[in-house]
Amino acid sequence: MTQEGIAEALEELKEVYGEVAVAAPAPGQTLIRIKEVSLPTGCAPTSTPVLLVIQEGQRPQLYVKGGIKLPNAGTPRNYSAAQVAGEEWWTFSYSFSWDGNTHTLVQFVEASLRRFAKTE
Amino acid sequence: MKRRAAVEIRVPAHLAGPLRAGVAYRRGRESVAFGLVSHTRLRDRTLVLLRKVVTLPDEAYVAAPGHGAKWTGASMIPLLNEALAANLGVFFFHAHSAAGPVQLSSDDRNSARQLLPAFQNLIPLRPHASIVLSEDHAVAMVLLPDQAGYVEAVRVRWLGKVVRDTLDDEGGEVKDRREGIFESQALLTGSRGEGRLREATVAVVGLSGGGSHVVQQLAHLGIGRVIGIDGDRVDQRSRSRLVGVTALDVLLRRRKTSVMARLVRRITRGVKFTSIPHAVPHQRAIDALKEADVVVGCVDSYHARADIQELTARYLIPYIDVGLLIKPLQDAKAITIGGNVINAIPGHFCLWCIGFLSEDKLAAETGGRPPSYFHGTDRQAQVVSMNGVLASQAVNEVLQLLTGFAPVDDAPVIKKFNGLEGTLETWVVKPRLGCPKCETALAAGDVVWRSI
Repeated sequence: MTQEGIAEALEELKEVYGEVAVAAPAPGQTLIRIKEVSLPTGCAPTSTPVLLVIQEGQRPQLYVKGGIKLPNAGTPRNYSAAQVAGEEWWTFSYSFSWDGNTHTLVQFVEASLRRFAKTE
Repeated sequence: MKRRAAVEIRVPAHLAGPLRAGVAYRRGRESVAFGLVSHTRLRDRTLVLLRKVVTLPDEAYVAAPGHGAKWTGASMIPLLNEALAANLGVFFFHAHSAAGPVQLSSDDRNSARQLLPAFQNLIPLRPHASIVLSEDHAVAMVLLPDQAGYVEAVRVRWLGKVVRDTLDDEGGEVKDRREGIFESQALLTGSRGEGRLREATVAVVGLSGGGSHVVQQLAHLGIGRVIGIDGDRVDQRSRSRLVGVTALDVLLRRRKTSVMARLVRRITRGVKFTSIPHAVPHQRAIDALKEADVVVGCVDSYHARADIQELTARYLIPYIDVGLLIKPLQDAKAITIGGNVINAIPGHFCLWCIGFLSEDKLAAETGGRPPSYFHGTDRQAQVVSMNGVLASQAVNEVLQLLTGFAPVDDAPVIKKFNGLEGTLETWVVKPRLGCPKCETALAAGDVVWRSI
């Protein structure tokens, strides 16, 4: 994503989710922290902080805070702890097509978190 | 125990030379070197992490009788722009004398009172400071974010094959009240070295075959505080390799951290053991690692190593990695037994620089999937005696970092173990230049967030 694209995406994320913070810890890397994003109905807790890592020329990476339970009270599979910029986050697998030119970061966040609606 | 300075400034190995050269007297005047810094807050102090050294060209200085050094405001604009873009604090260093305690002159104080609030106005979420160095002492005026007034009690830590700290007025020595215990050891380490061992905090990640040996030896050495990090409990396999485990521990499936706490307690009450019953990257493990002066990693996976490497680079902590691999060759009629002890000193090289870690190795470990897909990493062959060789060398590395008992040069080296021949050899490695991992992580400190 270009710097212009990121600036636009930040505005949209703020409009949709409210509190958003940004950091640029290294050249070509942007971290976006969303204070609270709702999880699919039935998940516990009902919302989670989200971290987006934007790296030039790469698909964004999405992380959530740990401890999410699925609607059937189970723990998501293939969901593991990761260290990002000195903080613990959780990563998980998801599969959907992504095109940075046509899709927005809000769509990316929503599509990623839909994975937790699936009971395993 | 001495009280730690409120601010500790860490200088990675590759910046020690440029910083010393930057503050050297030139053309009959003092010179200043600017440091761009990140930081993190610990319970008892603020760590300031030097990311870059910038010096001014000679033409930036102006003649000013009565001042040690005076430079134009315009000459600072490029470095202030760089600090602003990267959200880094600005420290300016100069030197007063060759050795011994130093003081801030009234001129130093006046210029700090003018410049530091201006820097803080520009970059409010990072510390800013003026520092005077001598060969072995430092004094400063540090303006911390969200704090009124200046902090003057600082310590500068110069990282290298020996970790050197500036001294306080007591000369940096600690009087050991446990007379006699370390008498023989002190013949090697000296009284100052013994003091440093008593003050040090060493974190051990992974408390199985290698880590349990390491913890035991650190307790015998009289390290001030040992942090044991492991989320697992003991099982039957632990009995063949985990130093200090008992049959009852296995029956009760005690935590490995509990077994280590008891092991240390039985050796000495003088070593504080902190149990972190979680794996890296649990937040408690991350927070505990930040407290360490040295980290010893005795973990099986490349993913765990990558996390420890990133954290230790980020907070400028020497990381000693221990690894043993016993594996059958193709026809299972022969074996290879190999191991490493790698002392990754921030600014010297990291596990990525020397190719020990690579994206391909991480992907191969999980089949390209997230780390939760690990299989069989704990089913590798383990032999207590061989773990012991590597663990002992790792503790020797700790001893060297803290006391500098052996002469050193700058060559980048690792230790290679051949278990079939029973040898531990020094190998010179060639770190790659411009390592992208070092560029991103080294002295990165805590992320500073900007609200939108």
